[in-house]
Amino acid sequence: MTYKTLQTNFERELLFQIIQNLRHKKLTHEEAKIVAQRFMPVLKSETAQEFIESLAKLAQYHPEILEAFIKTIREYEKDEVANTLSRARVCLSEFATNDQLRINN
Amino acid sequence: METKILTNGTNSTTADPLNTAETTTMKKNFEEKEIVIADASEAIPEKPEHNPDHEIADEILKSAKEDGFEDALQKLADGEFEKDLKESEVVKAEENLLEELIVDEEIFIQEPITPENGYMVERIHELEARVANLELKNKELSERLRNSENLNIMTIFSLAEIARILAEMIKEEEKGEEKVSLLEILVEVLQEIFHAIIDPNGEMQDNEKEEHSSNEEEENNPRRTLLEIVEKLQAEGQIRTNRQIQQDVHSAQAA
Repeated sequence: MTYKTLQTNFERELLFQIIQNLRHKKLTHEEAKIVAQRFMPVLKSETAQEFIESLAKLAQYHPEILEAFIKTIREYEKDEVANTLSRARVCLSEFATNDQLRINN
Repeated sequence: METKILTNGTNSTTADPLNTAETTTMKKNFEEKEIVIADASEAIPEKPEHNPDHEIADEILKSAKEDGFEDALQKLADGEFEKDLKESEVVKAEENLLEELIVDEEIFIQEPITPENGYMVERIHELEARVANLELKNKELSERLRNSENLNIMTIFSLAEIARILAEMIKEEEKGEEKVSLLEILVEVLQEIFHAIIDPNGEMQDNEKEEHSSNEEEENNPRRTLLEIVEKLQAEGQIRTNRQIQQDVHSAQAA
């Protein structure tokens, strides 16, 4: 998952949370406006890590951001872990192959 | 979808429940019930609750579909959805203006009397008293109007005709002194007409009676002069007699 995909997924999830809470009267349009105003600068983060850290701070104050954070970032991190493990397996495999070749020689 | 149906606890057969007659009947009954329930829900329409946040949610969803997630969030942050909502609220406020005015009026009526509106309350009482007084006067006038059926119409007609002749004489008269005397007579005639109108039965107030009795004793009594003039003119045939006027009035009433 790329950083851009993460951003898009988070935007979609945040909008879903805002719309749902507005409809269920858990959120007023003024509060929704504040959430959007605080979220928009976070989109300018240069890296995914910075983006996640900024969102983690905002999540303490806005339940909508927290909900979106739990759903999207968890998925992103799972994906990242899977990628890292995959890369690690490749590295180990390469290392093992090289080591075997070295022993044989 | 296939379902196993056990018969006599021994054999098992595979059948499509949608093809069996029993299932078809049940399905039909269920559908009919559903239709009845749907009709009942339509029969009692729920009053739609006005929720501005709900409208904003719809606007956000629409924007997200059309412009994208980021633009929708940006619009929300800029408060663009609020503007649309405010415009629609203004329209709704105008629609409910009359209802609100009625509610305001009720509040005004129920408002307790305070020093600020005490003056207005006094003013209202004063105006109510004036209205009552005017109604009383109106009754009196109505009574007098009914009494005016007994108006001595003959006298008024005679005097009016004399006034007309006097006016012609005044026009033709060249000498100043005689003109003045004619004018004085005309004034008297007009006063008599006025008296006849406001006092149709010829009844005078006590003070007026005294005034008249004292005046009659005078030699230059204008009323006597006037009567003499009337008699003279009638004798000469220059003005109509009372009988002629009466006949004219009768014919006019018959017409």
